Amino acid sequence: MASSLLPPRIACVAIIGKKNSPLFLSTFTKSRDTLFFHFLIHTTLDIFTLRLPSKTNGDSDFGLLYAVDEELACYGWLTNTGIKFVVAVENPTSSGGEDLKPVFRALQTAYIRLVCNPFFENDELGAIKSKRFQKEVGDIVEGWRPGSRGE
Amino acid sequence: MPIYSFYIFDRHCECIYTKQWHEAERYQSAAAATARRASITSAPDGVSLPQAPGRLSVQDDAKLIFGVVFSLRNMVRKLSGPDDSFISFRTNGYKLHYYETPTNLRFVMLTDTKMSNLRAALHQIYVNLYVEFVVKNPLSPVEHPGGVGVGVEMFEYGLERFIKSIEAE
Amino acid sequence: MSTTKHARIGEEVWKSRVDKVNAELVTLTYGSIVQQLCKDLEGDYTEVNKQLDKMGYNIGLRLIEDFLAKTNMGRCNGFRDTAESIAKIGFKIFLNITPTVTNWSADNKSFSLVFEENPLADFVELPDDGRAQNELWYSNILCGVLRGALEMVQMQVEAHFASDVLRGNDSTEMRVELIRIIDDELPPGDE
Repeated sequence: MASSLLPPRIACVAIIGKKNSPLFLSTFTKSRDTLFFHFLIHTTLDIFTLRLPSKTNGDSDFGLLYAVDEELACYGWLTNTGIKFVVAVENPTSSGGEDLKPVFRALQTAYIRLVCNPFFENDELGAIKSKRFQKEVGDIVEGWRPGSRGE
Repeated sequence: MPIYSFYIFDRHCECIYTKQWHEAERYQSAAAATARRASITSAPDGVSLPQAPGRLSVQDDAKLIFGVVFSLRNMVRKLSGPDDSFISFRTNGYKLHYYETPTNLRFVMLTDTKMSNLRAALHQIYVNLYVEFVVKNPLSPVEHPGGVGVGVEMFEYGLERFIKSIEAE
Repeated sequence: MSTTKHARIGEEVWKSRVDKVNAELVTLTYGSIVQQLCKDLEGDYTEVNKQLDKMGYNIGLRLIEDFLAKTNMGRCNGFRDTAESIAKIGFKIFLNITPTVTNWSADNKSFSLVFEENPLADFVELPDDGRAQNELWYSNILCGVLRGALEMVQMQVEAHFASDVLRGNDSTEMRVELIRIIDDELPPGDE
């Protein structure tokens, strides 16, 4: 298929709170609508729960959660405070999410900056509205160059 | 060498701290100086100290001392410019040491006449004791009317030790 | 005193005589104070500014003694000297920043401090309620600190922020104006 020649791209970034409430979801593709990603991210929650007991190394990286089809795969990252980061990638490579580690780290740093804002209400009730955070996530997504493509 | 007394005056010209040591010796030495070689060999055994005639209370002492240093300081400034200040003066009976901060806190110490210059020591009291234990004590008020908040335990203790170390030198 | 000398004193005191504390701790502490004030005063940002200034004033009254004790400085030689001391020594030793002194008025009685960085405002994004951006001076405590500290060394000043990057301005600028030199208090008349 022609699509496999396209470079991998981040299609969606989502953050889910400790109590599994959606905190943030931003899409970066036009091929599918936002609602689709809401459903997609929601289904990843089960995988986090399922894999958590067997996760003993204390690492935040959950790697590949699952691949929807050849064109879309979800990767996960769970902090010790129970915040889940999920990134959906279009045209994924076979590296199993190793490429995405810096992205998750950058996202986590941006998230820390966000919660350190004294005016941020960390109650997991509403979605994250911060424009700065929005922009930082956008920059992280734009700046991502998967290493396997040698760029 | 004995130190007789120590005073702090705040920027409102109020005496916010006084402390006296060696009461007896001080008045003896004053008496000795005035009597010129009159032989006073040892302190009287009785409790009564040789009271100088017309001796004032501690508060009046402080007022008097402030008046003197204040006028002297102003006079020095008039004579040699606003940056100058006097360091000490001496009488037959005692030597008065003076240190003033830019915030107009004034530290005064009365000592034996042979004491070397104590300006640096007064500065140390300001830096290591006053600022540390009085200013930085969040529960003490910023202003100290009537000396409230100055004579805290740490300050008293530190001062006592510091004075002893100077006297021992 | 020359400006380089100020910078050197600031550097020296910062290195040798200042206890350091974690920057995030300070930032977060200050942040929660401001946030709580905003909440308690129900978003009356003018009042929040006023309270911050007042808190700063009380800090300044004490901080100046610590400043003098640490730097062992004498009186400043004119208001320009004062400005340099504030920027290169005061801000250096207490916040490890050196704002730029600029925009002197013709009569040498007012100047601006331009902050390239502001440790108090790290992480901060003002509430998006349509008013905070126009009314709240987040770091207003600094104005109070200067006012309090300078009052103790016989200078009555007026200090306010003129712009703040948090509000979307290009720079963070504080304006400081000398109102008058306070005369030494005289002892009460002899009774």
